[in-house]
Amino acid sequence: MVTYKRDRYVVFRIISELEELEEFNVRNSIWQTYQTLFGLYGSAGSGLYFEDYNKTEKTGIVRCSHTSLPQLLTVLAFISKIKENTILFQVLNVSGTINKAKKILNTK
Amino acid sequence: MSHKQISKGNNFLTCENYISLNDLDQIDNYLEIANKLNISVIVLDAVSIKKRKLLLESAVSEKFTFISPISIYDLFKFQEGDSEKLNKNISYFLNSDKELKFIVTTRKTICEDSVDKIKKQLSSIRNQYDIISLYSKNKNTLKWAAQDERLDYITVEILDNSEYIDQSLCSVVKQNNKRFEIVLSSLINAPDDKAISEVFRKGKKLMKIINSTKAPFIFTMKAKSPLELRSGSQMRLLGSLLDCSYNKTKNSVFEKQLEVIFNNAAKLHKSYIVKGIREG
Repeated sequence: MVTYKRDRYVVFRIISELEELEEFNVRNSIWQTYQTLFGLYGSAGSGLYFEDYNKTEKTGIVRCSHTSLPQLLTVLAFISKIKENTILFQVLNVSGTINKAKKILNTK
Repeated sequence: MSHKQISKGNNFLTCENYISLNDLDQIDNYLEIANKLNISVIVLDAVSIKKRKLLLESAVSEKFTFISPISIYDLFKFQEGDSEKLNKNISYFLNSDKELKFIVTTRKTICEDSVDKIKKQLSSIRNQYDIISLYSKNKNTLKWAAQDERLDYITVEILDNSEYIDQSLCSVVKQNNKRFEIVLSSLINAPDDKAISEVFRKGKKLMKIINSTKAPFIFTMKAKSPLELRSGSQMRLLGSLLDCSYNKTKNSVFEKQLEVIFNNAAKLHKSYIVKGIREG
């Protein structure tokens, strides 16, 4: 059966000079940038959800719908600062299942 | 957009065409981040070929392997004709080991509006740098530059000189096999929403003109700090914000740059014979 909305799990790492980055700040910056670029309507339909985040490793998993994957990746490329600190999002992988995404997160 | 390409991102190499080093010691930081993002070709601005040698000797050479464009030319010169095959082989060569190999090249950006001054500069610096590009705010100068063989790129900063690009210039660029170098750093460095919307407005207008004439272009970040670097797919995604389809920019982040570097390395090679001169 073909499901119309499939999930995608984006595994990311934040490269920054800071030793720790709070989840709240990361989440806020992704949501705000998504709304700046694609509007409230776009962000509401994207199905964004933060599955996992490790503040010391600065790695995490974000879930989105398969139709809004390009938008989410654009947002991650667009963000250059969190709370006046220069950062860089490195997308480690994109997976279709949460288990695979967690496996990738543990290996990298 | 093809999602497979993004998920397999690590296999795709990138060229960062414009790195302006404020501090020469910073090169190690750039290389470390470039390694993480799979950026295998790095072009240093305002660093001459002689200076590059010294710079790379002082850099952490144990971690990375550096290759000069001329040695790449020596390795692959017999495949010169077929550019697609050549690009594939060079990519395979760069990505063959666990550790990424870096091609470090040099460039000079001439910022002038007068043709005479550019000619004077070109005669003295052409052999000192691998790549020469022009940044100008004069339509006539840009048109002259599009026809001059010594210049490789026409640099376009979206906020500063994008309004000087018109359809006639695009067709001259296309005819002479030149390339526009579109700097995307103004997208990520815009201070507020108003500035972002101005970048989008001007950028979309620019890309509409370029796409209508199918003039070749490349993307660059003009990174002033290591964290301003972006991988190839990230640059293409940022380009998609300027109404530039992700699939149509496949060659704008690696292949076209590599072609220019390879051709220029051939011209700087000792065995190069200038066109029109017969071998004795």
